[in-house]
Amino acid sequence: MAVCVAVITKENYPLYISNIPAANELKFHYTVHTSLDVVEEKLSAVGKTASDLRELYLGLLYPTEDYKVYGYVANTKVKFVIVIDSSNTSFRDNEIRSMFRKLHTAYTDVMCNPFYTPGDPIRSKTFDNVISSMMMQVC
Amino acid sequence: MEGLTLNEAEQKCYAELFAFCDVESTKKLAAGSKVAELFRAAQLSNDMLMQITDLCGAKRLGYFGRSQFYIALKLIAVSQAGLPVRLESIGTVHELPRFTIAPGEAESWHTAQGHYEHEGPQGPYGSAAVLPPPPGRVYNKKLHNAQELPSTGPATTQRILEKQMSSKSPPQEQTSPAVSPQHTPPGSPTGWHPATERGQPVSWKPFTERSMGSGEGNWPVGSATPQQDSWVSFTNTRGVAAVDDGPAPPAHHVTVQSDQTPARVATKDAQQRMSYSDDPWRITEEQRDYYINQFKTIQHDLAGLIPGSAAKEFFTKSKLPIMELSHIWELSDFDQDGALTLDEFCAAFHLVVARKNGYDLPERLPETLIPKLIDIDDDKDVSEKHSDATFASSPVETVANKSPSISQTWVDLQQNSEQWETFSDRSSSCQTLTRFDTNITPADPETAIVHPVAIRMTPSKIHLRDMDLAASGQDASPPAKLPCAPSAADEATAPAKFAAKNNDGFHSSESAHSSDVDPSSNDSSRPRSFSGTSGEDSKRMAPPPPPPPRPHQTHSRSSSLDLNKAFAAAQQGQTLSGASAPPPAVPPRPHPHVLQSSKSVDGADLTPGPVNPLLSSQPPPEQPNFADFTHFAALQFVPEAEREAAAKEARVAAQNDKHIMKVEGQVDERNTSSKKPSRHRMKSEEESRAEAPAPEEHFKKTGGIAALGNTQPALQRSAGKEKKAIQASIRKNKETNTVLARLNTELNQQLKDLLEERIALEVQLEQLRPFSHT
Repeated sequence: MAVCVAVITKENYPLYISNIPAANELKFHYTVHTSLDVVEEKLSAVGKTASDLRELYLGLLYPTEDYKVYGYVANTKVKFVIVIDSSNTSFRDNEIRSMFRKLHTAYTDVMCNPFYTPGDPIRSKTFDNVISSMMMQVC
Repeated sequence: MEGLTLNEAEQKCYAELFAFCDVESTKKLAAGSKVAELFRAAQLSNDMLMQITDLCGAKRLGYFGRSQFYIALKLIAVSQAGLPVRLESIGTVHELPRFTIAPGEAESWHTAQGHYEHEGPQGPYGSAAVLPPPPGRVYNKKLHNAQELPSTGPATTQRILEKQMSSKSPPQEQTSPAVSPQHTPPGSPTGWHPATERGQPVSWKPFTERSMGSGEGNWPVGSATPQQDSWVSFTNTRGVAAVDDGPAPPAHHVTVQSDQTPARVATKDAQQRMSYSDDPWRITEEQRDYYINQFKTIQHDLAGLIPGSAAKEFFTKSKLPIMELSHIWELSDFDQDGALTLDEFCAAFHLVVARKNGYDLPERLPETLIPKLIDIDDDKDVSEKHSDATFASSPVETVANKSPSISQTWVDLQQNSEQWETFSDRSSSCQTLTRFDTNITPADPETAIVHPVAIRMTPSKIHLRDMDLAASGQDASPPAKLPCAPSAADEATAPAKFAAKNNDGFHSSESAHSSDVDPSSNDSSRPRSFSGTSGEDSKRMAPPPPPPPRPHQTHSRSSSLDLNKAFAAAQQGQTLSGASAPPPAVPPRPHPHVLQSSKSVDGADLTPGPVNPLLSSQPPPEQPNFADFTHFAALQFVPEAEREAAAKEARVAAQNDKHIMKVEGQVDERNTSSKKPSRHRMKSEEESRAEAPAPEEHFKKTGGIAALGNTQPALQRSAGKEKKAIQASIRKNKETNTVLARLNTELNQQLKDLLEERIALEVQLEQLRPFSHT
């Protein structure tokens, strides 16, 4: 259950955060923020060859009793963070990867839009639809 | 009754009609005055009406429930379209029923909507002249028609249509230059004429006439009157585009020219075309002409693309908020390439125009705006979409009819992208973002080298022309994306993924190749070549295909071994088991055993293993030549033998040694061999632990080379495979490196231990010596 999805730029400010409606937003915002530290740590470790998708997928960043946080970094150092509720059956790694890939694709679609300036918060309905499909499906 | 599906326009219209008739708000319409009036206004015979009431079930029920009413309306439309009135035909007809209204009723209708101009061509309807032509109506010829003919039905019809189009307000059609000299709107297209006007060529309403008031009346759903002023600035050249969802030009022209006698035929035409025009998202010819002209101002080549930045500037002129423009872009950039083709541009323009006139942007691209898919109307020339002034309704219709299916496919594809993702996830994941066209027939079927071409998700062979241009660009890009040398193709899972993608319905935008590529053949061919990394398979496949210029790579890879010669020697020697094109990538595993066993024996026994004689200085019994190479052979043979052994399937034969000799004779690299001797010596001192990594390392190297050699036969590799191969070999080399490093440390450790032992022993000796001496 992706309860929260966040897109963060390389300057580490968020472009897009969304949770399922019922959640406590602040808590997830905080979680995402703290997970950034883990992301940075993994990023600095990965270092050398960065283009492989396998390395872009950072995997489980941080598990708590309630949820797990997964991270993924694009080539442009844009970070995607997905928070998943642990109560449901834990997702296979592949599924998480596919979710990230969808995210990445949707993000690139937003980028392709000439009316979108990078750095702006993402306000695209299509993007929202993709995100909500990811979140709803999990719920 | 079968399920009744109404499109949006019909829904609105019927709902309003129902509301209109349901004066008592009981949700049930007695077959009474209003309903009867309405049905009579449909200009159908009484018999037909009776039949309709029977069919819809009102007779049974005794009243018109909502569904019955809707069905009845549908049937009326069916009969008006000329089709036999059957329940089955309900689904086929999507036009709205047309009603003529008596003057008295006209008034009541009036109050609901504004005045409507009516078109001349509606003369035939004209029993009850509903609305006198609004004063000052300055049509061109049309106007004359209108004045002469009782403007009746059309008005009502339009009104009804307008009701349904209440929320949509296509702009008035700009008077075509041919028709209206006096009618040129004062530079600014006054209004968006509601859908009613379409169908009737009358879009020539005087724009001034079209007061917004009436406009607003027409569109109770409250789309604020579009700001035509800004529209004017936007559409700098001509007046507003005729974004009138009007009928196709033929009817239009017919009515225009058929002066004051709109033959019933013409009107029928108009009526039928009105069905098309029901949809505000349909682009009329005038509109399309205008769009094409605008396209030309940006991009002269109609088959080319407008880059995103240019499109952004252009559409920003419309002064729509950026968010909406962004949304419009998302809708209209069908292939998500960041550029607009002509169709996409027309769709975007149409959306902008619609938005400016108050229509809300849809969530999904309306079917009629979806760029024409070449597949659908193959027979209809693709150039049609570029022909400026020859848009007939039929292609549009055909396309529209088929576009639902395409859009459906598109929708399904979008929804199924998840499945696609999963599948591709199973296969190589690093390839996902670059999607390749798998519909490429290999130029040489035998080699079946497929050059991957990146595509975007396109439901079908879209934009044949566009993709012709784009494909050439894309052809260039994939090579850039992947280090694909067409000759090198390691069959990784990528082809499987491509095949799967094919199966998912993603069609290639690659139109340069014939469109009749059979993905299944590709699929079938690919798995065959997949298994090629294993020795057996490679051997199986090895003979037929000529090896690509692989040896160069292998040569570089080995850096010390001229595998060409090795292979030649192997072939000459014919000692290899059945491998004509010696695939060195035989599973290296067996050899370590051989090596280990042979090494462990280490001179104790001369098993016919290739290594033994070399490690031990004892010449193998049947190798007279061996003596010649004893110096370095013992050292060099090992690596060579290892390689050979790797090449063979752990074949332990004396002949191998002979073969190795030959190889040795031809090999001149000593440098790598020189390193190995020392390692081998150490290995001989060490136990299997040392042995294993060393052979492994060799094997890895040769394995890498062998793998590359293996890929020679498998020429069906795509570029992705090669990249995978390279990555795999890189990984192997890394592992080899780590293994070697570990080995190094271990050996160093052992050396230290030994040294310590030696020291200890010496100390002991010294301690003992004095005693012995004395």
